[in-house]
Amino acid sequence: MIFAVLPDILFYLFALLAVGGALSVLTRRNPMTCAASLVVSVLSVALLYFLLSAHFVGVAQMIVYAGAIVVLFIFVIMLLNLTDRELGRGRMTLFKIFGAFLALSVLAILAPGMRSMVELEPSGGPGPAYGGTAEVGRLLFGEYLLPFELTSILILAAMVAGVVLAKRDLTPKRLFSLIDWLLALADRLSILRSPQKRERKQGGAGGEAE
Amino acid sequence: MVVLRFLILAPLAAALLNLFFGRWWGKKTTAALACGSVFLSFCGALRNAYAIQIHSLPAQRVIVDEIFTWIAVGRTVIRMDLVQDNLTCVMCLIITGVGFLIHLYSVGYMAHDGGFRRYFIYLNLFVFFMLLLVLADNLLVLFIGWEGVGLCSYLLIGFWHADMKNASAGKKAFVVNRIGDFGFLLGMLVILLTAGTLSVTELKSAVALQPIASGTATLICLLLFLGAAGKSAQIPLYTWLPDAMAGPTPVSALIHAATMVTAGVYMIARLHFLYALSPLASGVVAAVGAATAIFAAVIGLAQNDIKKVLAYSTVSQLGYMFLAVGVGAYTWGIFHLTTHAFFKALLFLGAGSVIHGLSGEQNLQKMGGLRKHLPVTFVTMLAGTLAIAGVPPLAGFFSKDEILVAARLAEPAVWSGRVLSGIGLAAAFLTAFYMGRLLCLAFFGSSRVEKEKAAHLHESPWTMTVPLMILAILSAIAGFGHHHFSEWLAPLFGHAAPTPADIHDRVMWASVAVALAGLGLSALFYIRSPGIPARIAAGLGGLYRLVADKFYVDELYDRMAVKAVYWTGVLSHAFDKHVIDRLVNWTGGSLRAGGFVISFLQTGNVGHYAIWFLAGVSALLVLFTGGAP
Amino acid sequence: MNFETAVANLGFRDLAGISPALNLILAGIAILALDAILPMRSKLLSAWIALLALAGSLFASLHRLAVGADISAFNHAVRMDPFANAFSAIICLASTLAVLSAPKYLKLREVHLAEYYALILFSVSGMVLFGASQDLLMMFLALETMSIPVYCLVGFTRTNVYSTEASMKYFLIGAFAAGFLVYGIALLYGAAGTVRIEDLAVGLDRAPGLFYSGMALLLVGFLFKIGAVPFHMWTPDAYEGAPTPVTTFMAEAVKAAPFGGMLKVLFVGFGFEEAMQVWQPVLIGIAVLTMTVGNLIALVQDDVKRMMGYSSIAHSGYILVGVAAAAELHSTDALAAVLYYLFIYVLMNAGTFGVLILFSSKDKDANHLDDLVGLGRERPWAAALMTVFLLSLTGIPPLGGFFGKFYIFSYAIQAGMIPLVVIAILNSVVSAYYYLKVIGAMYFREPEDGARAVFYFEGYSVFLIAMLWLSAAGVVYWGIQSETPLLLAEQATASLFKPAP
Repeated sequence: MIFAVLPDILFYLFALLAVGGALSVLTRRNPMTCAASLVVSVLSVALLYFLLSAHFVGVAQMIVYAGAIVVLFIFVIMLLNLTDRELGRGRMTLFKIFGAFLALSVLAILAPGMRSMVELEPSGGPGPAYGGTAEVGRLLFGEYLLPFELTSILILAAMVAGVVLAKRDLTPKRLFSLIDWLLALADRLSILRSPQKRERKQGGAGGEAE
Repeated sequence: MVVLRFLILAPLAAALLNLFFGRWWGKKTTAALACGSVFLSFCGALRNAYAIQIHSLPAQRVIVDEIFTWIAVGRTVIRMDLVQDNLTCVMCLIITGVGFLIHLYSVGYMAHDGGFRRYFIYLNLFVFFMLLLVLADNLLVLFIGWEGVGLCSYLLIGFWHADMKNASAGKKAFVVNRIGDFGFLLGMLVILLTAGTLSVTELKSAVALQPIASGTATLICLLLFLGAAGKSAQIPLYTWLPDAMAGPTPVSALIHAATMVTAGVYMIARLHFLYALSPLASGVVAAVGAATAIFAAVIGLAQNDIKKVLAYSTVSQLGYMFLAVGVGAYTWGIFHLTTHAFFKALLFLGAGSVIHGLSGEQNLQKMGGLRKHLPVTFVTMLAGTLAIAGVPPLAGFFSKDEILVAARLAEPAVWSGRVLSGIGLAAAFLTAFYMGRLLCLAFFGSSRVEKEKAAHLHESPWTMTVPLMILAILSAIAGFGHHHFSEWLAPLFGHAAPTPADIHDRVMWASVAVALAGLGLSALFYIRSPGIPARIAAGLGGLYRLVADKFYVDELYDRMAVKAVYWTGVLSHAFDKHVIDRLVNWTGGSLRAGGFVISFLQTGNVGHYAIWFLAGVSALLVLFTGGAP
Repeated sequence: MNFETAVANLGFRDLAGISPALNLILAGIAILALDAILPMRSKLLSAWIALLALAGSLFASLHRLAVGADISAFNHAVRMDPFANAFSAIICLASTLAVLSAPKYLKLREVHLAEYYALILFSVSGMVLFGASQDLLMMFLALETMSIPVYCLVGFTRTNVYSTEASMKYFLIGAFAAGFLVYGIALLYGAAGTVRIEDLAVGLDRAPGLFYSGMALLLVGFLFKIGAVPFHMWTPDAYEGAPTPVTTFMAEAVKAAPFGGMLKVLFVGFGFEEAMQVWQPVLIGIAVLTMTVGNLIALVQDDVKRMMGYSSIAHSGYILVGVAAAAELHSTDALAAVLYYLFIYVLMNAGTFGVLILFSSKDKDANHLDDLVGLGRERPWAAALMTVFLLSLTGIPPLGGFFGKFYIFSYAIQAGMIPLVVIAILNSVVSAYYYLKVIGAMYFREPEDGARAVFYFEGYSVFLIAMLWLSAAGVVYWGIQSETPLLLAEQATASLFKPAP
């Protein structure tokens, strides 16, 4: 009996946690609290995936979002180390109330539509291997190969974009240039250094010593 | 067969090349490009004429080049098609042939002018537009050419625009032509509304299937004729042409004698199937043509500016052409157009040579005795004068004679054939007289040239005299081709009906007689006893002044039209300033204020943007779901 | 479809199918790789590679468009039909012009990096796939591939505060909009049980509320991208803050591309009667708002770049008029008019921004109206070109802009939407004011201190000059000769309603 309703109970629990976590991210002022709330929200969503027997996606959600991305957030927050003064005081402005009202109205308009989804017949239901790594892999490398590959381009583009925006020094210093690297290596090993150059360098060093 | 688009693009290409790169190459290359491109077009036109000639079937005697569809909205399709048939062949050959000679002449004439490059760019552009006008199948495309040649003419009349007089002459030509264009546009609109097409080919077959109602046809033809009268300087819109003589003389020869001003005649000949539907409109065309012929000839009697004489002569000769197409003698109208292109271009170029030799002197009273100093110019001008006067066997004799015969035999809706041919004969007499007067005053008698100008007196260089000689030969012999010419145009206008021999002979003798009489009288007046004209002028008194001052038509127009327009302008300006302007300012102001207020919403705060965004989302959701599932 | 058949279906044919996009991706990677390996100070090589790749894609698309190729690739994830190829061609042309305008400006601002060209190419590949997408998932990914590089490009001059701020704003609002888009896709999936565009219609019977909500949210995502009111707020900020070559790219390619996916979703996914009755009136309302707000605010701008931002909003409104007319008439020919408009719009915008770039110096953009005073006398050619572009934007015959508007409006009249056309024409009249204001500044205003204005080409660039002349020639030539582009566009839009091969 309890096992029959357990999925429902768990669903509402995690759903509440997910929404609550998200609200907390919005309302808390302390960045660390926000990040922690985000973890709660993200993990709850992962658990919802498990409930839907989408195991692979659930695990990926945990590792990627909760594991990697939020940790990155926390690093950044700690590096910035914002003081209360810099964060400012959270005031309830008319503007925010208006925004919240609009958001709620969007929700209110969407809600009846959502209700119509409840009445939908489930289309077939998951197969035995549904949600597993193998099944997801088959879909990704079969039917959805192009979207999958396009995602890699998207990530590459995002990476390049991030590097461009964050790179401190734009002068063409070729840290990663293969040829520069080889030249530097040769320099280090004194293979290519001309005798005169070496002499001058030695002479200079000697001069400094005197 | 040469693809038609290359025919018209050659001059355009030369104009563009000279425009963009002319700065980097010298006058020689500019001139070579300009002349070469027109010559190329001439060769192409000649080749096409041959191609049309050798086809036996009439249906094949048309070269079509479908370039692209310009506008296609619903039922109305405007195609950028070029069509060359027997009629367009003639026009193309005149434009490129005479055009080439005038280009060549201009090389010498404009050699020392600072605007050399600009001049040739305009001239090539003119040839391009003129060819477009002639070859266009669609009336709207024809209209582009029509406006294009108008623009080039405007630019070339005001070529020496540093001079205020020239600039205002250009403006006058522009404004008067607008009146004509208005008629043309309205005519096109009526055609589009009645026939649903502006393509001449389609229009012709549509009219052949189902003729347009006579009243509508009359309306169309009269509106189009208003356009033609503007472009071809007919009563009442002729006043711009004499003023247009402010431009360089070769321009007068090309644009204001041989080609552009004949566009109206060409257009009516092109649409002859419409004019055939409306005897009334045709009658009006003939009557206006005859009236212009005599009116302009009378004014030409008393002009002292060599180019003004030729200008009025052009107006008068254009009147002949309209007389011809008005009485249905399209072949002879076009034939006169052709011969006129030869001898009038020749006369203008000759006048240019005289002006060039006299360092810019244009007053006939300050010339005289030039035949010894400018022998080539004299001989060629003599040929031109005899041709225009109608002395057999030169070209003008044949074309004028045929027109007079056709007018005599016609039964027009306005006036009668006898009246028309009588006016024609009178005009022929006057033509012979004033042309003889021009020749006598310039080349015979004692020299009245000012001293310092006499010192520089010289015959023109070969680039100027060679075109003169070629045109002189053409003016002399072109008349013999009149049978071939009518055969050539027969597929379009049908074979000329055989004329009763007695009438033909009578008219012929009469026209020869008046030509010789006119020339003889002028020789008597201006060589034998030069005192007579002054005495006659004194005797006539006010009448003479009336003629010399061109019947005060310019002043009349100034009083009536221009003043009226001026006062309407003043009134509407006041209205504009106090009513419209306020309204506009108010509208503009409130619009700006509106923009200003709305732009406050653009605060630059992302949060605010998001709010608007969200508002949009909820609005859209409400609209889409209707607020209910 | 099971895995085996899915894999068995894949082959070289699929790669060849998406070659216009693949070509760009590979070129982008090549640019990054070569830049890392070769110790070159000049980045022109990157520009050349980008240009070659874009030209290759342009010609491939045009060729396929001309022969009417219709290829489905990757298990029907994308379909390179004439419609997709037409958009691909417009976008590649736009991007070519944008790349041509870039080197001079970036060099002056000392941000001439190879990454610029790589990002452009990645973005363009996303745009090409966007118009070709057959399902919403693919469409979303393509849209993001297109957008993310642009967020970065807007902030490319990182030392410039405005540029960074614009980038940040654009990114935030863009993420916001993407959220709605994904939400819409999710709802539609919930309703229809599929993300394939041509099968979306089943969702209406299964769950109408969900279906319409999803449709609304999906449309929000698209309307945001094309800058329609009230989702337009980002446009002027992003246009003004971005480096001018990026603004060029945004105003033409980033503007035109979303229409590809949007038209596909609207006319294939929601192209049946019941749905059309819902979205078409809404689109009319948005068109009116967009035109009016865009034009009104543009009136009071003195910064040409910002003004062009609002002008681009207004032009989105004109285009939406065409879309609404096509929906009313059920006519693919009317949609072809929209494509033609986009094509011309690309050319005239490229030119306008190109002239602004021409006179941008090391420290200062020539964006303000006052910066252009005296241009007509000092630099007659540049001023003449600018005049051509502005007149075309205003819609003066016989330039392309006139015929673009002419075709759209005449279809709208055919559709019986007279009040809409009246509003659109009134808007055109209003727009003439601010376009002519620029021409007035160039020709008729005197510098206030009476000194001669000085314009010098800092960093003369053959690329830029070529771009200006190409655009001008296009605006004039394809304006007068609108038959060929229209014919191609009609072929393209006709294919929209043919079943996939």
